[in-house]
Amino acid sequence: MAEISLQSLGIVIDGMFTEAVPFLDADCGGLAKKCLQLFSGYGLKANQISVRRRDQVFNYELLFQLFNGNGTFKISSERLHIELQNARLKVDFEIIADCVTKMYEIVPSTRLGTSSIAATIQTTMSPPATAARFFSAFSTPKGGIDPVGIIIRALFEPWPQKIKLVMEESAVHPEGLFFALYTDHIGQGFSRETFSNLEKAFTELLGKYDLHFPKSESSAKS
Amino acid sequence: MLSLAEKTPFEREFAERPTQQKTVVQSTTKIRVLLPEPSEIQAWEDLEPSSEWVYAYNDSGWTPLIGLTGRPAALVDLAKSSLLDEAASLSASLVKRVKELTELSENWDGDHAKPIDWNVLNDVVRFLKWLGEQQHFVEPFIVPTFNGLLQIEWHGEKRLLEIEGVKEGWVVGGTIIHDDSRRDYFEGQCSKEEFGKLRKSYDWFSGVEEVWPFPEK
Repeated sequence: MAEISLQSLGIVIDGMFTEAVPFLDADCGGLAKKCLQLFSGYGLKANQISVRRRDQVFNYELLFQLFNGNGTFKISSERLHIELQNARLKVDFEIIADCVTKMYEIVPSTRLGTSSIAATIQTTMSPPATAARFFSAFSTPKGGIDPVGIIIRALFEPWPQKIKLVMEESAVHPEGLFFALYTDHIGQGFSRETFSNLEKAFTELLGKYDLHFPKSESSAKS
Repeated sequence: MLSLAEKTPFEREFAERPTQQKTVVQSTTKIRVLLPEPSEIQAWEDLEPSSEWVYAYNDSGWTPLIGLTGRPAALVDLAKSSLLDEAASLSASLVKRVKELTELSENWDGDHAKPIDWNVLNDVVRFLKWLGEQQHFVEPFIVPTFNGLLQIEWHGEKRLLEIEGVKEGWVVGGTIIHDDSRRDYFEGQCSKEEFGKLRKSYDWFSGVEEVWPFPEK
C-alpha cells in the first residue's frame, strides 16, 4: 500500500433551496445574528457580515468570510454557499465539519433540498516518485500510452450517493496525487456524521487503489 | 545577490525546492521584518520555529527578499490567531493560558475529552477583557472540562467562585468556607451577554458584595 499525506484540502458546498426566497421573507437580520452567535469563536465580528441587495426581490446575499479569506459563507435567495480552502491538518477537518454543520443550522431546514459537494485534495506520496509508477499500472495493454489520471464514478459505503472522483498527478507536488471529488447530499441537515460518512467512503475508495492516509491524519472514527 | 554556495545549509535546502512549493503565507502583526545581512541568517524573535526565508528566482538566479514566510497556515492556525488577537489586551499569563487551551486536541486528557469549543473560549476571553476594563481583578484559573467547555475559577481563603462557560450561557457557583470548615454553596445562571451579573459574582467573591447576586430557586 502506498501512503499519501494531505497537503491541502478545499471544499465547496452548495445547498440549493427548494424554492427561491424573496428578500422580505429571508429575515437577513435574524440570519446575521445567528451567524454571529455561532461563528464568533472563529473571529467573526458584526461588521464583517454584510448583506448585498440588488433589487427588492431575489437579488441579494448575506456574506461573511473567516480564516483570512480561506472561508466564504453566503446565503442568497436560492442557495447556501460554503467555501473553505487550505485545510492542512487533521484538526482542520473538525473545523470544516463544525462550520458546515453550523451553517446548515442557521438556514431553516425546510428551505433546503439537495446539496452539491466538491472537494479538491492535494497529497504527496510516500515513498516519493511513485505517482508516475502508480498510474503506469493502468497503461494500455499494448503499451505506448501512459495515463496520468483516473476518473471513476461509483457508490462507496457508507455514502448513499454516487461519488465521482478524478485522480491525477499533482501539478503542485511533483511526487503527489491530486484528487477532485464530486457528490451530492440529499437531506435537509448536514451533521458531523454526514461528514464522517463521506470521509469513510473516500477512505474506502482510496483503499481500492491501495492508497491510504497515515493513521494520524485520518479523522474517520472506526 | 547571493549565490547558492554562500547560503547556509538551511537556505540551500530551501532555495533548491521547486518554486511552486514556496508559498507565502499571511504574516501576522507580531513578526518583525529586518533587512537581512548578505552573509548571515539572523535569528528573529517572535517567530514560529518553522519560519523560512523568501527567495525570488529570476533569470539572474536566487535573490533574497525582505520578508519571510512560515509554513502555510492551516485553518486552525488562523482560528487561533484570531482568538489570540482578541485576547491580546489580557495579561501575558492569561494570553499564554488561552494559547494552551487552543492547542488542546481531542482526547487531551487521555480519556476521550473533547477539544475546547471555540465559541466558549471566545466568550471567556470577551468576559475577561470586559472585566479588566471595569476593574482590576485577580487572575483566575481557566480550566478545561471533559466535554470541551471551560471553567473560570477564583480561589480565596473564605470564598470560591466558579463560572462555567456553556453553549447557552454561564453557570455560576459560589462557595463560602466557614471557620469551622463548613461550606455553603450557591448557584446561578445567566445568558452569554450578562457580564454584569458575572461581575457581581466576582464582587461577591472578592468580598465587595456580601449577598450572592443570583436569586434563590
